[in-house]
Amino acid sequence: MVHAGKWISLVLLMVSAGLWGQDASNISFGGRYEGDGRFLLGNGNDWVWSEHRLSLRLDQRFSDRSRFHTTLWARSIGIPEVTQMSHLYNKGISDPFQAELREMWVELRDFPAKGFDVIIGRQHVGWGTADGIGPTDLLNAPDMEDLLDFGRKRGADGVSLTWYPWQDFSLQAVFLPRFRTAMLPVGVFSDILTPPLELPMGLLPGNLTDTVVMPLPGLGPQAAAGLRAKGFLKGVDFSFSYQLVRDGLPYASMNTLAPGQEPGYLDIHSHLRFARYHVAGFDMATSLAGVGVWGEAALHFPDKDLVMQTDVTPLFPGATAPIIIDSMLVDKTEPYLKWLVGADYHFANGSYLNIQFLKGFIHEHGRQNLDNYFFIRYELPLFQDRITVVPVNGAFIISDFQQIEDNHAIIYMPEVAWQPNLNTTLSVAAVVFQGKGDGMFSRLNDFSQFRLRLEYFF
Amino acid sequence: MYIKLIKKKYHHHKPEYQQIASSINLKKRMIMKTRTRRIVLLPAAIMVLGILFGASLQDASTILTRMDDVMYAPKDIKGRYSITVIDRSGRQEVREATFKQKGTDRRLVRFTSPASQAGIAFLSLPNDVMYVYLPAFGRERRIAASAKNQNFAGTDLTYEDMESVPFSQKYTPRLLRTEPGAFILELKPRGRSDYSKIVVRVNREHFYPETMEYYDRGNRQVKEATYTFKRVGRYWNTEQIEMRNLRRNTSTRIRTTDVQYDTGLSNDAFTVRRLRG
Repeated sequence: MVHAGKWISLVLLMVSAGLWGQDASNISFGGRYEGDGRFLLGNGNDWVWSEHRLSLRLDQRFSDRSRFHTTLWARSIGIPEVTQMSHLYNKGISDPFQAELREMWVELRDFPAKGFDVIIGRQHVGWGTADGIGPTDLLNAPDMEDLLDFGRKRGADGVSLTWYPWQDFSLQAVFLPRFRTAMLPVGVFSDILTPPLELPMGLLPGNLTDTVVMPLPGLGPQAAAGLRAKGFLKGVDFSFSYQLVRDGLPYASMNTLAPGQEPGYLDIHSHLRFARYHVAGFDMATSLAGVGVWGEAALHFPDKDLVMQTDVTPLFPGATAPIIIDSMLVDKTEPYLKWLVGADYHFANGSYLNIQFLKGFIHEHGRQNLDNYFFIRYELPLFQDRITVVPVNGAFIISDFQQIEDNHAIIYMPEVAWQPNLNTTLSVAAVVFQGKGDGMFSRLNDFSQFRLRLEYFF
Repeated sequence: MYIKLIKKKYHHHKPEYQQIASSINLKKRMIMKTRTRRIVLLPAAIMVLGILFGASLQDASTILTRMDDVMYAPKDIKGRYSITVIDRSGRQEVREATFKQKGTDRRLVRFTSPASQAGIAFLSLPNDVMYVYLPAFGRERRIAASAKNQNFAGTDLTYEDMESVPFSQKYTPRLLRTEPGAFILELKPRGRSDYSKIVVRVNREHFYPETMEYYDRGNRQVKEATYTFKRVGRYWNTEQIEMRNLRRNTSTRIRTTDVQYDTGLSNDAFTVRRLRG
């Protein structure tokens, strides 16, 4: 709460300072209010999401040579968990509030020389051509807080330098000196990234604890960097990239199993680390016979073997030496390719179709662990674009083509949006999950929900 | 027999032919041809008809080129658009945008209001290349050819209408008729287009377009644009375009204000680099 107040004060100070000190015509201030409520389709229609988000944006330009930009979120988010009388005195519990600095950067154009642009600060780098889930867009850590907001990223703190030697060609270098972790899903989806535990017959999980081992604080272990050459040739936009990144999602490097407080239970303590990768990327976009086509490929080279060790020594009090079982998660000598292809088409009646296929989601690593994701969205605008009906929207996920029946997930999200005026959109949507197996989205059958949203721009 | 028929037809049209040929300085050549033997009449007639058709095409092309010359006369131009979209019930919504144009094939339009569309930018480049920048996604996207028939930011203009390409490059013209004060041209697209033809009324004195009627692939008129031009310094300025969508019964009125000519815009202002603003 105190932090939120500081941020709001900071932004207000910025706005007022800007308005007093600068030509007002160079300042652009705006934002968006978004209200989002969701309840389960079953299970007593429990509320599972409540968010009121104020997104504030400020831009200030100094001639054509520099620009300051910031985006701040101030929001009331979460379902209050009031369980004690004392909570009723505590607005931090009864009225959860959070503020977040999404972006804040300064752009210097034709700096340090003509043809160069520099952006310094918290920024979204945004590489690739895919819609939201591109496998080459790795420099910003994923923000998976809201699982239904695919592709949301956290801002990355650093410097981006782009050189435009020719009109259709650019070379970009990005250096991010400080590591930022991913944000994990909250609410009913909070366990989605935790794989189901496989314990010996008759044993149940007891106390589950963990320790996150952050990279060492030095520049070397913390930094990420990327280089990208982007061009346009014979109607095709394309780019080649190299990135040295640390995955913002941790993996379990060590699990220590110990007898629980009660017989038949196992306590598990996990050490979580963040793996580092070298990634060679390629992306393209073009138009073929009126169809928009794009693709991305990211070849991952792990910096070192990712091994998960399971220490079962505490289960054997008489053991004279540690008993540790190693499981290879990702072999350093086996690079693996994540890739995506997509296409979209606008029909004469104004409707729009978008299809994408992705091999390997954000959290999947290793050649054998990449699932197959088909995404589709069809939009039909009606009544002079006042109403948009999205009868087909969702994903079909297959973990194992040999046993599709037992290893799949379907996410179906039909939606209707009404725009009473240009700045306001009201929408209702259903989110239906159906799946089988151990995949991330296959375990969400109980969380199908109904969603109500309001967006207002100012 | 066939030669005779051709000859008969030729003589039947002789006075009209001579008049037109005279106007295009071909009279002397025609008279020479009439003195040749009958056996050469067929190729001669074919050639003459070809010259006639060519002359008509040439005239239509000249008119269209002169219209382009008026519309793309300045080296560069920048200003503001006030775009009013009027729905079938008469309700009006106003959008504001800035625009820049250089030569005949570079144009950048950036919306400044309403808030939900502020920052959306559209870049038209040579060789049918168009980009749109959507601030919500934070990146630019190529506009696929199929998207060019889509309404641009909720207006009655499509991305194709917003392209910065001279009409004489995009269309093959034909002179339909001449009216007092105007030439009526029919334009057929040379390449892929959502329109089967456009019928343009070109001001006979100043060569700016007065109206354009757009026909879909089924040859039904779907839109009509009315232009208002005003002399600003050395140039004719498009003061207002009103595009009526006959199918939806809506219209979009675009007024240009704060227009500045020949300010020395460089090609660098029309790049993906500058699309973000």
